[in-house]
Amino acid sequence: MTSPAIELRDLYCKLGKFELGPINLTVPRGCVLALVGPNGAGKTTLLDLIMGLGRPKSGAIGVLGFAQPADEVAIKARVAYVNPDLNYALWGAVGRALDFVRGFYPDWNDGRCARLLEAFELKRTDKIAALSFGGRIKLSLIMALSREAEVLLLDEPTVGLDVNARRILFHEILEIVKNENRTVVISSHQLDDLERLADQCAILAKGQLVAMAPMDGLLDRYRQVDVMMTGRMPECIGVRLIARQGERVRLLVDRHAGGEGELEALGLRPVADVSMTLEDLFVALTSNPMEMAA
Amino acid sequence: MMNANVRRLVFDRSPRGLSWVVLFCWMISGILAAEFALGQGRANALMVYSAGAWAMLGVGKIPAWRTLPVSQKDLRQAQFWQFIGIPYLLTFSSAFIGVAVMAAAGFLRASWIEILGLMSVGTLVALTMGASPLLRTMLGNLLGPVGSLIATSIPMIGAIGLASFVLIGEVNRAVLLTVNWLGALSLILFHAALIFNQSLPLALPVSQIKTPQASSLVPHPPVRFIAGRPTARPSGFWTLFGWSFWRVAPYAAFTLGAYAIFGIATRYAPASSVLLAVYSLQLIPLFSLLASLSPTLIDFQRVRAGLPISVFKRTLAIHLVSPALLVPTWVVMIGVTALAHPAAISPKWWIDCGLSSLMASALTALAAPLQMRFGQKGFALFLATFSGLWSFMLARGGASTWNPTFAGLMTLALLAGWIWTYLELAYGRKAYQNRAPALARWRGAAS
Repeated sequence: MTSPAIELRDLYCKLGKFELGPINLTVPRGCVLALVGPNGAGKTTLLDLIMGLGRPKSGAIGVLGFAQPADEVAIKARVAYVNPDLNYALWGAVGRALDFVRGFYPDWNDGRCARLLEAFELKRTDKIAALSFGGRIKLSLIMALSREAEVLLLDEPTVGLDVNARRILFHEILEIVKNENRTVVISSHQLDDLERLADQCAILAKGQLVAMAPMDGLLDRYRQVDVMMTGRMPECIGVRLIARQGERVRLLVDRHAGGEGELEALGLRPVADVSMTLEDLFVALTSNPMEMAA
Repeated sequence: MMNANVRRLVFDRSPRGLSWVVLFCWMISGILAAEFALGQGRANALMVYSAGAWAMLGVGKIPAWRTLPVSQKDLRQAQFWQFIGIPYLLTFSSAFIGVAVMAAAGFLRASWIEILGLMSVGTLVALTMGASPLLRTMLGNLLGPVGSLIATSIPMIGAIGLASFVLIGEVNRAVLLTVNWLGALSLILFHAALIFNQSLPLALPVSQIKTPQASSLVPHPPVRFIAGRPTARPSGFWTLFGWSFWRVAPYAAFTLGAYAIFGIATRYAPASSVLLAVYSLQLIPLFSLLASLSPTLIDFQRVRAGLPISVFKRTLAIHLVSPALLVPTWVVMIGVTALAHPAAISPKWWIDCGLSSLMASALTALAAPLQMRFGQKGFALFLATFSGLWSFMLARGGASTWNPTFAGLMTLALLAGWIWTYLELAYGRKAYQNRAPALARWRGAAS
């Protein structure tokens, strides 16, 4: 049986006041996973831990059947990682940074690297320090996409990219996942793009995994309805208050948790069924409804 | 000793230009060691600069190194060579070759204990400078900004102060032992930081998570927005100056604290004649401190360009910081000297301190526009040139170098730095030039 691309078991990490987990997550091979969450939710920390940059307090991390940290080198050889915090300016020119990195990867594809340089409009002679923020992200992406990496961990890869570069990136990702063994994990705040591209979605909030499902299934699981009610919203399982205007209340109903039954039990009849996007779901799951209910 | 991965990491000499500059500085450092062997031992600021610059070149590469398929053991080994091994070998070998050449030529005037002192200081400086960047990360995570300040200031000031003490020629067994113990301590701290830092993720999470507010069905109330050009308050300049001052003041406070500790410690040193020279040399870290202000103050010029404050006032806000920091420096120095060694306060001491302060101000004044024009590389070259000249000057005659010509040159440099800064802010890079705030008009939520 083929091992999953990424498997996290009771992963827990504490850094100062910040706590991540415990997280249990399985990412199958050949999928595009969208990792979304508000700032400070722990997306970057999670990707760092998967890559082996840092140590969790407890739990197990498995990547392509290898275990962190015992098989760290094998994992890093098969995983490509993009992070806006990585800065290659000390290597001077784009070409020099690429030459330095390619020496560590036997699966480096020079032809693809040249094609990506052209597509992203970068030259080997360009000075990295003089590149814009988007230009530096492009360089990181070229380093990641020029390899035959089996897993790509892309942390905020679209930040600073113009529309053309973003389209090229998504085209490349789609080309990658044509191969059923290659997996892409993208953390981003561009929810519209992710909704079109990803087939799995994981939502992180305050260091906890609040939802993880196939993208279509996730949007089908939740329903956004408006109901009329007076007084405070009672506590009920599977129903979450999103917003309120007078007696009109917008609720997020989790069908899997029996939210619809709870609504009926309370005698609340929806007056409107509001269509929902990933962005709506993200806001509903990660916002603090108590302040609105007060 | 080194496998292929470690060699590839350690011998990747990027950025190449600066690497060659630093290697050249080490070579000059060897010539200064030869001069030391002649019995004219003086502080070698170039040795400090070379070790510090080498460490700084390496620290920016570590995040990228960590993502490569290299084992933790190899990564630790590569960092050891980058921060400790190579600086130590280069410092030690340049000093050894310098002394050996003098000995072979029959010009060896220094005693064996002084030569041993020189080698030990080289070790200590290389170890302290190499350990400092990693310690800063470790203590910054454990103790917050205070930890970063401690790791930045105390070890460097201590090492440089002690190095000055040894290199002026006052070496005995106790000093030698202290230097070597501090070197061993630096090595232990370096390894602790190396292991601790590997347990940290690349980007640390924010300490406090703020969740966004839920979207309301009610449109947000219209925001009151006053259209038109904001007017500068009379206190705008003082706010800017105060902000700059307090931003760098903690570094100054730590430096001065280190001075005080060092000064009081030297009370138990043997000869007061030597202490005179020590007090002059104590200003070396002050120069480094003031020079380090420039990057701190220049970093925010792009933001300041958008403030409704004139170029002249922005220039003043940059350049008044160093004189403002010199005042408490004087107070501490006079206080410590008066308490520890009242006899050391002589007219010569006053002149030395005054001219040293002038030199520090001139250095900062020149470094600021230089960095605005040529960036970090220009600034690094400037520091290297200055460290070399300073070392040669001290080797040639120490405090007696101070003369009216030098004072005049420093005054001219100070004025040139101020004027150049004004010109850079007014007519230099677009990002530094004053930008008029964009006129905005609130059109309301509905329209």
